[in-house]
Amino acid sequence: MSSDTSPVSVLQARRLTRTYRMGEVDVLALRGADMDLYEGELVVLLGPSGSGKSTLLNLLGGLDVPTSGSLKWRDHDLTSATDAALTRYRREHVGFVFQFYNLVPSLTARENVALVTDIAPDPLDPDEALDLVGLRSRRDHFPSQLSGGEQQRVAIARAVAKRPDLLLCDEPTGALDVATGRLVLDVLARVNRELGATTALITHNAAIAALADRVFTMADGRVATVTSNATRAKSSDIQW
Amino acid sequence: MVTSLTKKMMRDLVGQAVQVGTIAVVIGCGVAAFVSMRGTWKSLELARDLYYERYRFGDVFVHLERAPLAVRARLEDIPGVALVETRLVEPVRLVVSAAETPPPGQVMSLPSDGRPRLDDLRVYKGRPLESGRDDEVLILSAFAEAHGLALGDTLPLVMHGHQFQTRIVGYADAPEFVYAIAPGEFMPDPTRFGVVWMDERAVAAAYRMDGAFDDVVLRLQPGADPEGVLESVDDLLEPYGGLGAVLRDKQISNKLLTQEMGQLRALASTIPIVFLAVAAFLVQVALGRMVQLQRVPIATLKAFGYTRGEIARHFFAMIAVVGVVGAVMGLGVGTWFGRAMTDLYRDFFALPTLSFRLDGELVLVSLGVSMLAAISGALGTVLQIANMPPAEAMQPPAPPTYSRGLIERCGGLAMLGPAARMAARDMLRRPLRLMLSIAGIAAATAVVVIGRFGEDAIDAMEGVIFDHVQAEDISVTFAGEVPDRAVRALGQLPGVNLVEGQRAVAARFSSGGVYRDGALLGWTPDPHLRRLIEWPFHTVAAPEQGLVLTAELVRVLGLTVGDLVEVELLGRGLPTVMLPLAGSVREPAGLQGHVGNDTLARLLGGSRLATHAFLAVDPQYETEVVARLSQMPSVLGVSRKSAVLASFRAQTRETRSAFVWIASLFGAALAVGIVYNNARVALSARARELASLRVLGFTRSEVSGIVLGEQAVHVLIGLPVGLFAGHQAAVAMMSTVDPETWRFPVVIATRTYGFAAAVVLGAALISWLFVFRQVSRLDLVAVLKTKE
Ligand SMILES: Nc1ncnc2c1ncn2[C@@H]1O[C@H](COP(=O)(O)OP(=O)(O)OP(=O)(O)O)[C@@H](O)[C@H]1O
Ligand SMILES: [Mg+2]
Repeated sequence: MSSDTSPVSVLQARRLTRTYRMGEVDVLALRGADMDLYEGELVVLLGPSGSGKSTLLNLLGGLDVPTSGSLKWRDHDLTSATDAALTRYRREHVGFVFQFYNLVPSLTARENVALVTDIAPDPLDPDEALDLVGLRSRRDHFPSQLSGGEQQRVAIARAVAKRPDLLLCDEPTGALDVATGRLVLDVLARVNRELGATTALITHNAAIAALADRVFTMADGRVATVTSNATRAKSSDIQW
Repeated sequence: MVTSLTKKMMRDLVGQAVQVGTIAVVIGCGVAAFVSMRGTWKSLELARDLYYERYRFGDVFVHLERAPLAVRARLEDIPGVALVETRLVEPVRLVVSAAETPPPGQVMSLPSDGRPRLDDLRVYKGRPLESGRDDEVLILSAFAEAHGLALGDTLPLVMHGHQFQTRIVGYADAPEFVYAIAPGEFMPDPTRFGVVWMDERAVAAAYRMDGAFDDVVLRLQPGADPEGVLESVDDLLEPYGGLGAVLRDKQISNKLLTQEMGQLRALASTIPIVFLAVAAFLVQVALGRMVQLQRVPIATLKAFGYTRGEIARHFFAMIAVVGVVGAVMGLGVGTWFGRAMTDLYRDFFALPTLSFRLDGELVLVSLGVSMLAAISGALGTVLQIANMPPAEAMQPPAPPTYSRGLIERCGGLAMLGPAARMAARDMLRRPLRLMLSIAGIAAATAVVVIGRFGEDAIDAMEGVIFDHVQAEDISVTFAGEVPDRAVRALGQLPGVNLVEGQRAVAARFSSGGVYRDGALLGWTPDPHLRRLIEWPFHTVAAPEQGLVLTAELVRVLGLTVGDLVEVELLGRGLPTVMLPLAGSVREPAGLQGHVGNDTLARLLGGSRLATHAFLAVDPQYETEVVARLSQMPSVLGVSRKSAVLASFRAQTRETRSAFVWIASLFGAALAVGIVYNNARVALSARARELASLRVLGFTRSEVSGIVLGEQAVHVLIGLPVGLFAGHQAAVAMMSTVDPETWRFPVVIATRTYGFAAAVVLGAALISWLFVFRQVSRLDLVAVLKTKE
């Protein structure tokens, strides 16, 4: 992302709240979170467990709707979107990477990617997507035949294969060791650069924040601080 | 192009092949039952309609003593009558061999000029009669084949006491003899029902019936009032000894054919429903579990933007595959069963065009109902998936809620160990599933009971007929009424130990405007050879004073003991008498009146006569006695009980074993489907829990005991319920039998219950072995490591 042209805001969240009703008590997962995301940037969300990171990410990705507040993707209002509209939003614009990969066990690496390219309007070729994560040679392997890191890279290939405008990753390295985690972060950074997808990444590892253009810290259901990094570090420079 | 989603579906199906297979088999059984029974029914209907239409089967039938041909025009004048055919139908003795004489047969007249207008016959081998020849006959094909009579063979006939030599020129059958059963017999037996057709002049000459007829067939005009026509016909033929006109529904062949088809139709619309309902239940159980396992993949698909519709379609398609596989198997097996059933029916029903037809409608309905069963089982679960919010589905399912239910609070589970308590809580947590599963096991058991019950019914029938009613060795039908001394003379034959006569007169019993036709039997005092039987199997003394009626007849006529019954003795010049009802007897078959032979003689104003004689004979003399009887001009027919019994057994053996087999297979398939799926699902749902127990030090058998113990409870409750349900179903099946023909209390033998229980337990054991193997292979580390 170049800093001399004024950045385009693609996603605006204002005073988002999300309440879960658990029997008698209401759990306030989000209590008024504000956030803007700019085209093509990579942001990191930090914060203690239970601070509402996943909840916010789910709202951004159209997996869920806020209890109150407003949320806009470019000119789409996601606040009160219907299920069909949210589905279309996810289908056309969003890519997800999950902590536990969530690959379909009965499909090979390539078929898992094809699951997404089958329904996307302008997808990459599944092989191309696997190239991006360096796993083309493993395309015919089933998830059970891949290591955790490899599974996560397939999951990334699957998320980026639709050329998403927004790539959301919830603790993508949470289940991985340092070296593998680095590899995965590299891939994410490269995809962000090469495809220009606005990327939001949740992590518990503060060191990873150095990779980002901007860092959001969440506490108690709100965005507490936002800091910008002058330069983005390389994953190999990160101390875990 | 094959989408990834389709591939996923196919692989998921293959991965669950056994479970999916058992469900498909249950669907297949339902379709097979439907296709075979419904298809056979439709084939019978088609063949019957075609035959009746082509050979102009009549609407009204009446036999009489003798009427001049001129009366025919008056029959034609009755309003509502479209066509009239008059003919001669006479009793005849068919001399098929020197050694054996079958029971009396019928000789029927054929017009010398052209075909009968109604109740035509089909000559299917050889040629029609040559006009004017009095020595040619056509013969009922089943009878000819049973006795090995060939075209061109000489067939001596004893007509009206005189023997005539005739030659067989053709084999024939006719719509009025589709079910060729001799009057007074219980089962069709082709060796015992002989019919020959002869030129009308030959018959008239032999029986001195020139210019007369004694049998009428009518065709009604469309919209005619059948009861009105019957009344007019009876009034018109009264002076000519009319025996009472009947509609098609009382014509014996048509009546039994209709009854059989009705039963088949009822079965065709109930049995398959049981299977398809069980299949729906299994789909619900299995798919419910599969969806539990697939929460994350489903949520992932949703996160990627797959719509509800696409996901719902995916699961429906998966289920539809199971439905289609089941339907295709069912169509294949059903066609095969249907052919076999139709072949069996061909032995009983002479329907020339009868062959099993699988028509498009049947195929479509089969596919439709299997889909319906599969999809209705899947509906709830699939809707639940489609509406599952993608974000929430990302979390593992919350632990299911258990509570100490009523039973437990009352101390019901206190004495159980922890493993048994786990199983018990699990069952009580899903009472509906528990009940459906029990119902399924019960259905499986009941299906086997019903399949085998036929054997018990036939055994009971055999017992009552051959052990209780017919205590004679040989029965004789006389060519007319013979004096008592002719009966006594039979006792002089070598080897004859005992002889008793009986007189049967056709009669119409009426009271309060209701009437029924039957026979009035005149009994010798204290009979030993032919006996009056009442349920449950005890002999009733034959009446010497007064009239005793079949209990069913008493019921139909609304009589009580002491009431006067109008008994119209049918036959020319015979009186109508009023007799007080002295009692009733719960006979298993037919509608009869019973009086002492002396009473009957008095009513008819003459001496004691007999139409039948029953003989007890030394076994080594039997053949000789039969041969001697066959030579007597006064004897129309002779039958040997041992031969009849052998033929009865041969007739029924094939049918009964086929039914037992099919029903057992179906019942076993149901039981396997239920037990295997339930156990499999329970195992999968609790793999983690069970593996934890193993880690804690529980043994394999203790752990499998939890899963299997639960299934054992289903089976142990389902079994007795199923035995009872089978009994009830048998009662319902028997209730479709016309109570005026047969009244059989349902008796199910203990061995039938034992057999059904064994089939279901065996099926359950096999399923358990499968599951036990899976428990043994439970990979403790893997199960605990992977996230659901
Ligand atoms: N489906 C739900 N039902 C009820 N409460 C929920 C649900 N999802 C989240 N919560 C609650 O909302 C709060 C925020 O949860 P969230 O998952 O967003 O936290 P997080 O910041 O992602 O935590 P972690 O770092 O542990 O993943 C928590 O208190 C959590 O218990
Ligand atoms: Mg989280």
